[in-house]
Amino acid sequence: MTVLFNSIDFIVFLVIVTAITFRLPHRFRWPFLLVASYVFYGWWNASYLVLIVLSSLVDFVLARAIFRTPERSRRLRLLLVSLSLNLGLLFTFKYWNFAAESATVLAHWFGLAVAAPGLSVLLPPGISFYTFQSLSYTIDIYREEYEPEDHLGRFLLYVAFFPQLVAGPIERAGHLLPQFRIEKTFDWNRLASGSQLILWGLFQKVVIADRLALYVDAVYNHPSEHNASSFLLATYAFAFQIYCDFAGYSDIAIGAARIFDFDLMRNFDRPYFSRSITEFWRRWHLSLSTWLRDYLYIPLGGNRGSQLFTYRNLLITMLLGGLWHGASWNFVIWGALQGVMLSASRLTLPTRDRWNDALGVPHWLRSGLRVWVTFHLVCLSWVFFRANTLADASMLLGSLTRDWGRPYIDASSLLHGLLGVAVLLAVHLRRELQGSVAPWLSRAPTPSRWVLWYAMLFAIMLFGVDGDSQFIYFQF
Amino acid sequence: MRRIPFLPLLLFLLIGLGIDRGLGLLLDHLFSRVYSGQNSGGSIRLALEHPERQVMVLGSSRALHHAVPEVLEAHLPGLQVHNAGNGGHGIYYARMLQALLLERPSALRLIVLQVDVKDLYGADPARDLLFAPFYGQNPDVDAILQSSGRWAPLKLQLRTYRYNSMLLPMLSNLDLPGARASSGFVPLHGSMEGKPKQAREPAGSTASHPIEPEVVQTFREFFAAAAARGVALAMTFGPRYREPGAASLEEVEGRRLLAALADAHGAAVLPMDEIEYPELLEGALYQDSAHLNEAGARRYTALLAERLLHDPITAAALAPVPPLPADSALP
Repeated sequence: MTVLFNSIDFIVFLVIVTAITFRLPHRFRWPFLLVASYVFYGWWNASYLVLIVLSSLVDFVLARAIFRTPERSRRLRLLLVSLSLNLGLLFTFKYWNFAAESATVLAHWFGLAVAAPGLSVLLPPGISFYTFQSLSYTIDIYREEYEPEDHLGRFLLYVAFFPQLVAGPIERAGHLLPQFRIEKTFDWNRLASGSQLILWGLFQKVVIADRLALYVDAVYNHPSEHNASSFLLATYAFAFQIYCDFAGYSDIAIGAARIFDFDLMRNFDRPYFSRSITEFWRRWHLSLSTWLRDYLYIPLGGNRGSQLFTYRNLLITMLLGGLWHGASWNFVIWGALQGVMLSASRLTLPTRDRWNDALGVPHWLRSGLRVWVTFHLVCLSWVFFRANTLADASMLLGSLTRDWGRPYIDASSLLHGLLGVAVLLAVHLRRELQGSVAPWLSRAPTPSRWVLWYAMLFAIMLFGVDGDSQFIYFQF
Repeated sequence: MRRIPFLPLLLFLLIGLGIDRGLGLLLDHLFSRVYSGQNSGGSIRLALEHPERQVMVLGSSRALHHAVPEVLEAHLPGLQVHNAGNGGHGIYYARMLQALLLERPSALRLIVLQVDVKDLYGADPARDLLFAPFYGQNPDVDAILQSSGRWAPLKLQLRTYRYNSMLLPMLSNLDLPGARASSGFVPLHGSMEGKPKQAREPAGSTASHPIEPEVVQTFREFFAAAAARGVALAMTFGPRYREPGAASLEEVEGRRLLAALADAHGAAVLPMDEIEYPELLEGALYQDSAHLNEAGARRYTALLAERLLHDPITAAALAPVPPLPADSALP
């Protein structure tokens, strides 16, 4: 595993890297940050570095070749080489065994006694993220959206930059690469702002996500021992666990980058306030959803054809999006559900609006109902995301039809988690209604800001789950 | 890089340390009023509150829900019994509690340690941070707490951190009436349906997981500390709702190792399991396959009492102490 964001190791690493970086002249910063990023990534196993360096080198060379080639068919062939390498790496390390198992099962259905060979390989952390990030670069060069990077070191850093290497945000070269060319100066306000975001990310991760995980794991890892009430409670808990885990990670990543004066893209925008599944995907994991939109959905044709054509494109995009998350049928079904819900939402919106208008449903009630329904549809899909197997997901969903009773209560985990969620929702509600808290924070007097700092620090110490728990998205 | 604003940074740090110390004092005060709750540290304080109890039961939930002090006391007249088991905790918890018990003057004569053999394959001292409020009071406790993580010695300097995950449980167990008089036992209800877990062919000839040497060392220290203080020790494994022979290779090898350790330190080994007592293999006595319900616990405890009275090591510890001669007043 790499250095975990929710560890003192990471704080020490960040302090050292920050101190050294801003002591170095500008021309030595990119090599230092690159070495630091590789140290961060290869902390427990240096062999992970081979793949990321190989992928980066090949794409650097291919992108320059694509740019220099006027002939379209040759440019396309070079792009296909990049696609084959990156997706080939992803397939080999992430999907081979899943494909082999599925092929074996399929063969048995047809009465063939064959077993496809499996591979004994470890999944390199972050491979889904950095291959997509590197791919977006070559595709953008092919599309002539900008010129390729001349500087190999800066390009390697673009792929391996440690705050966003392992679990995103999946950056675009047009946004991140130019920032590496600009000389940065140390700024205490940026350090404070970045550190505040890191602290907020840690709060979400260790106070909310890890605490709720104790309850979720108890139910989802032992589905036959729990009833529908426990399952429902655990699913709601998982909805906030996965949000706080991933958004917490993203905030730590963005905060860490901000200290160095690098701006990473926002990855979450209060997704559980969405009024439709379409809006949910404009607020959830933005770096992935925009990647899928720009490199899959739109090239497939987007919504430029008939309704059926659009639904087809949505389904394919979300199916592959689901598969990106993990090599299992659970994720395929989760992705398919997203595609179906997106299509159904588009199909039924005009009718729903007409009904609401006819019934005179006030706007606030319409919005509230939509938020409530969207949240529950998302929770339904989370069942497949979290369940260990399809059979478990079926068992849990099946219990809804018959098995209600007193839920299993882990008072400590739920109470801690609930308090954290209350704080989270209060912050999100304020942002939803009155905009970002950042300007208010920066204008607040020093004692007020210090009170907030201490509150978060002591909340983490008192209520955070102690221990080096992984981030959920590290497994993707 | 601009000049570092040392003064504001220093001030921030000093104020933070001050808040930590102040909060720590408040938390210490709250902790001193808690005598119940599995996650509040109250069960630790309750065990330490009763130095007059001569028999102490230690272990996990399979001690907490299995050993009924009033049943033991009925079989061991004149003796008082306390159940200090705690769900989800194993040898590290037992060792730290033992260390705190033995450093205090007490009437303790016998410790019954219910062992979960799986501790040998994966006990984690990080699970026993309930003892963090006692950091700095006992070197054995400190050593285990510091081994819970690389940065544990640093984190434990912060008084607030010592109460990590404990504040809400402490508040919910604050000043509960009758808590201080509790004997510690917590009964379970419900019963098992269906057959006991079946025995199966082992997958190999040796255990597939390695035993952790640090855990073995902790067991060794546990046995040695009791022997050094002249406190007798009885190690039990307890019954499960499963057929004889259903134990894994890891459990079989683990038991063998622990029995050898116990023998070497003069501790009694009383398996008290479903193999020794087939009469305990009734679904009606279990809440789940690992835990007896209240009826099962009472039956089990009566059997345990009989064993304690007849085992030469434990019987000697439980024998009535002759009264001192009239002229042997303490100086």
